[in-house]
Amino acid sequence: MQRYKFLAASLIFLLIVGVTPSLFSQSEEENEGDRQQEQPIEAEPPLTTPEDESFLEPYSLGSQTFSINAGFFIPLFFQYPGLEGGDELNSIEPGWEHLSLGGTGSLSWGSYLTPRFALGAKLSGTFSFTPNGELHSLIPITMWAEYLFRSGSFEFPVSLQGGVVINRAYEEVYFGPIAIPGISGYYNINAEWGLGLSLEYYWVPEIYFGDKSNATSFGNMLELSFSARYHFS
Amino acid sequence: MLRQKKYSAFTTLLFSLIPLILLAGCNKDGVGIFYQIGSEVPQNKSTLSERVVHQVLDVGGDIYVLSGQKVFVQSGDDWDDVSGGYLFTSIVTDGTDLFATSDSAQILSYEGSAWNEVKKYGDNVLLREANGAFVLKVGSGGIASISTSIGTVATEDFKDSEIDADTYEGQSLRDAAWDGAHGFVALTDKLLGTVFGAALSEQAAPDINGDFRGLATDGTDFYLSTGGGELYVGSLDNDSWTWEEPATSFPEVPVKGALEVVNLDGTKYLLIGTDEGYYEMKLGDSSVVPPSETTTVGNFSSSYPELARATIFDIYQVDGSTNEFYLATSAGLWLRRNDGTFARQ
Repeated sequence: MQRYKFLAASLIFLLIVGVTPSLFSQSEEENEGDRQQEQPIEAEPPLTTPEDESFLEPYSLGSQTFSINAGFFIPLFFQYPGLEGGDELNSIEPGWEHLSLGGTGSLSWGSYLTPRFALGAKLSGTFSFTPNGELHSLIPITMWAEYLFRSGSFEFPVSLQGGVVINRAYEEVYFGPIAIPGISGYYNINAEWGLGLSLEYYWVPEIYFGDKSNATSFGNMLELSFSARYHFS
Repeated sequence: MLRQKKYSAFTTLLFSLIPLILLAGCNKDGVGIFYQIGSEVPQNKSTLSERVVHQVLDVGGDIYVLSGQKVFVQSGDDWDDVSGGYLFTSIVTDGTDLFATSDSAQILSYEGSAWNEVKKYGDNVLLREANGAFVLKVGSGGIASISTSIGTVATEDFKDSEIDADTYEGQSLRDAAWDGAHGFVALTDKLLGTVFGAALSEQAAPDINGDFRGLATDGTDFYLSTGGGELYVGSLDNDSWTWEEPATSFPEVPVKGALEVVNLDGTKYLLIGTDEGYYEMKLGDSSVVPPSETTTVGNFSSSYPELARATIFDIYQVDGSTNEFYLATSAGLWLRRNDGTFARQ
């Protein structure tokens, strides 16, 4: 039953991802029409050479981005550094033997401090299932920093996220830290919209002390997602 | 000015995450989520996997269960529904035949392919079996014990059973235990007893407010559990029974009625079914503990999280020499294997 609920939630999320860009583009067209009516004719821009244009940066302090991601959640491995004699686990357990291929989705907002460096915040969610069908979910709430590499219409942001994660399974909740390095590749289809892929590595420590220290573990997962990024000022 | 507002909002967001980060690392009472994910033992999926199983018993080598109001029989790795359109309320066996009560106030016997009506009553009927003795309760009233001799119960005994109606109005039949010479029946807040060949009569019960749940015997003493979490041992002392609390650390989870004495490697254990798995007490000891001593797994609740969280409705050992027993639970039927591991059936 829980699995069906999450499948339904995933479908709804994917629908939102599909519908939102068209909403944005519709309102943008309307705004564009308004601007053309309201704005007075400006003076012609100064002449520049093609060499000068290659050094123009599209973003500056105050430029903002809003991104929507949806894709796959791939368990890599679990590390158990504090195992004791009675534990039947290996210090490294393959993730794919204990969790299914899952799904992920996220919403992200950020703002540029320089033409290449941005800071932002992100809300994500993942789900997958244990061998006996128990639902496992992660809800990372993170701040991120990214550096942007550009080449023509392509952009390659390299990012590092840090924050907290709500880790849930077996009716248990662990509220812990998370670090997510990642890289994305976008093709800018116009000045506002870029479409691409994101690859992110989830490092999820679950740390215990005292008589539960043997349960300390580090989850290592991968997110491969389709991404749409909207630029605005 | 607009830009300043944007960055003050951004700074506010950044600092609002700081308390969350400081709280990181909290887990209320968990075993460890990734630890459990790594430890979880994959289990068989069958017709019963996602069903609540209330009763389990062996009839001539075949395992039957009551799941909801249906009766299933094990067939290889799966289960066949043999309900035949009836809705059942309880199942019992004399070791040879399967008997059941239906929600149409019938006692039925199963002949291997079809159900036959043995007797029909005027009100709902419920059966309990305890070591070859049977207890029958009709509606909200009377109760009868059928046969006090192991192995002699036959269809005729059920036909001839007479109910002393209205004696125990408002009382539910919870459990029964019979050691071959003495027997007890737990109702909601009354305890009935009998000796071989005599009728049931009300006994002095422990000085508690009832809510009796489970009864079991090891052949000498009787054990009685309550929904409030108490466990009592009843011993015969000069023809009168005295009930005392033996446990010093009873689990703080509601007991659901399953109470059974099983034999594991020659040692007798009292198993106690609760809303969160089962607990065990080695007879002669006074501590009720999770099943760690009698399992071969490193961490029972991590390896079998579904079983550890399940409500245990029935515990049944087919043969005391095999170290195996069944657990009828809210998460299907589980078999404790001879090697100390567990497998969902």
